[in-house]
Amino acid sequence: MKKCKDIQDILPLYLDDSLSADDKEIVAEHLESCQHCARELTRLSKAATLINSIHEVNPPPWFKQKIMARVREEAGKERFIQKWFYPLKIKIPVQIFATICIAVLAVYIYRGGEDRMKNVVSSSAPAPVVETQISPLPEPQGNTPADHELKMQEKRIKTKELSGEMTTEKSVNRARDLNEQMSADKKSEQFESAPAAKSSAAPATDMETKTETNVTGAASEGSMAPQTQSLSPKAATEMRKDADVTGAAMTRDSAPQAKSLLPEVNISLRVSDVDAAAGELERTLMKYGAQNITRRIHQGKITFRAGLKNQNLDDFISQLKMIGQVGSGEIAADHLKDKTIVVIDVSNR
Amino acid sequence: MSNITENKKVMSGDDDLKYVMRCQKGDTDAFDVLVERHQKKMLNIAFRMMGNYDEACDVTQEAFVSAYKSIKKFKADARFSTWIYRIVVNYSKNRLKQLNGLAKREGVSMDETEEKRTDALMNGSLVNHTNPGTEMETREREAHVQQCISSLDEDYREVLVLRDIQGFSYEEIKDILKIPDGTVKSRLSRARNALKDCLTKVMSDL
Repeated sequence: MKKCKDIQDILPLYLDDSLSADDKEIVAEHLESCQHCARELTRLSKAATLINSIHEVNPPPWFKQKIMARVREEAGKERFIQKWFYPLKIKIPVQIFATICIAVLAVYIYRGGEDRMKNVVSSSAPAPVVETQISPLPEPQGNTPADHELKMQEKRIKTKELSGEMTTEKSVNRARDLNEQMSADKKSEQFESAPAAKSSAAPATDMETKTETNVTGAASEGSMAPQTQSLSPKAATEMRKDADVTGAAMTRDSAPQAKSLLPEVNISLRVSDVDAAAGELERTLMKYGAQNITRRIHQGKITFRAGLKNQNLDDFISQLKMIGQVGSGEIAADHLKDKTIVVIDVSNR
Repeated sequence: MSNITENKKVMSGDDDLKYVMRCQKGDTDAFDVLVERHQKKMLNIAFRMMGNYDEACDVTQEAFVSAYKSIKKFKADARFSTWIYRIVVNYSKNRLKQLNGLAKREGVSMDETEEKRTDALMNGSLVNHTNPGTEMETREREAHVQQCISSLDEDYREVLVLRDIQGFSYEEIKDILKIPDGTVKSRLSRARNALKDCLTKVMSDL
């Protein structure tokens, strides 16, 4: 027979009818003989009644709504995270890639912007070359009294050469005086436009030769070739000086073309529709950052003149080929200069 | 006792599964139904475990939110009710540990505070009683019972609450608490004996 303590350990389960049949029988037998354990059973029964009789509490008002509000809040967060990050295997690499793309694009745009800024700055503040070229423009264009006298002097030379050396010498002396005066003027001009003067050296030399030829031509016209040839070396040098003066005068004559001190590229463009091509050409010039674009219409031909950076020249010409048929000309840029003046004649095919 | 227990058995059927599956697909409204079905039982488990109505409300709320967060992990091989009651029991036990730790640090007896709060609750939210005298007696008696439940060890308390108050079967308790059948029975036996001893002390008529 089991002790009371053992019985009391399983007594609560006896009450619950959850003991095995054997244990149940043992407890029942024990309870018949043990009043103490029977009393314990009664207490257990009362305690069970008490605990079973306690009331349920009700949820507070809006309890479900509060819970659901929290749940929806969580669901919102979850959806946000899911939307942006799930599935991780796919979305994280995509996001990393996108970030890199944006960073690269940002750097690219920033650098592109820098170039544009440079263009804007350079176009708003024109190059000093252009400024200095402008200053000689108002200068007399071959109609000054000095020039006039020079021309007259030339004529006199031509006529007086016929009458003897002495006269020629005198006139040459006078011409030399004038020449000195002019070259002093010219020097001051050159001082003003030092960069321009350098590039003007070559055309000036050409002019010189031309003038010489003219002079010679004039002399031969008068069937006085032997006399001209018989001029003393001194006279010849003086003639050259004279020619220099003429050259200077001619350079001054060509003052409107002062811009051509920069190397020039002449391009003829043959197109089917001149107006349309002109519009497109203008846009292309703008695109390549051309400066000082001038447009002149002459006998159904439109001539564009603009300053273009050498680095853009090749690209620009390839663009021209897309607009129309580009005439073969010397289109090599002078690499000593930053810029080249492009003169484009747009005409019908 | 067994008859009363059986009467108290209110188990939601497999209906829950339908709503659980909807929740798993992201339908938040389906969870509304599950909250409606289980909120009272959840709250009562928490309340009897904690002995504090406000804390019980908080714990229940947390348990529901936690259940929703991890509802995708729920597998249909278990009952949803069992799963969600386990969550509330665990949350209650964790919160009790927190509160006990806090009370120890502050030197305040948890029993005292629980007693006050339980009394306050009994004055307020209990079921209507027509007779003020009877109501008073009932309040007092229930306060004693709760006091004795709260005095039990947590392991015994949870078994007693689930079996004798909420009326779950041994099988369900085994599933909720994830303990063997024999352990459930032995713990319940000790819990009932301890409760009887406690009630004998506090109530003269036992």
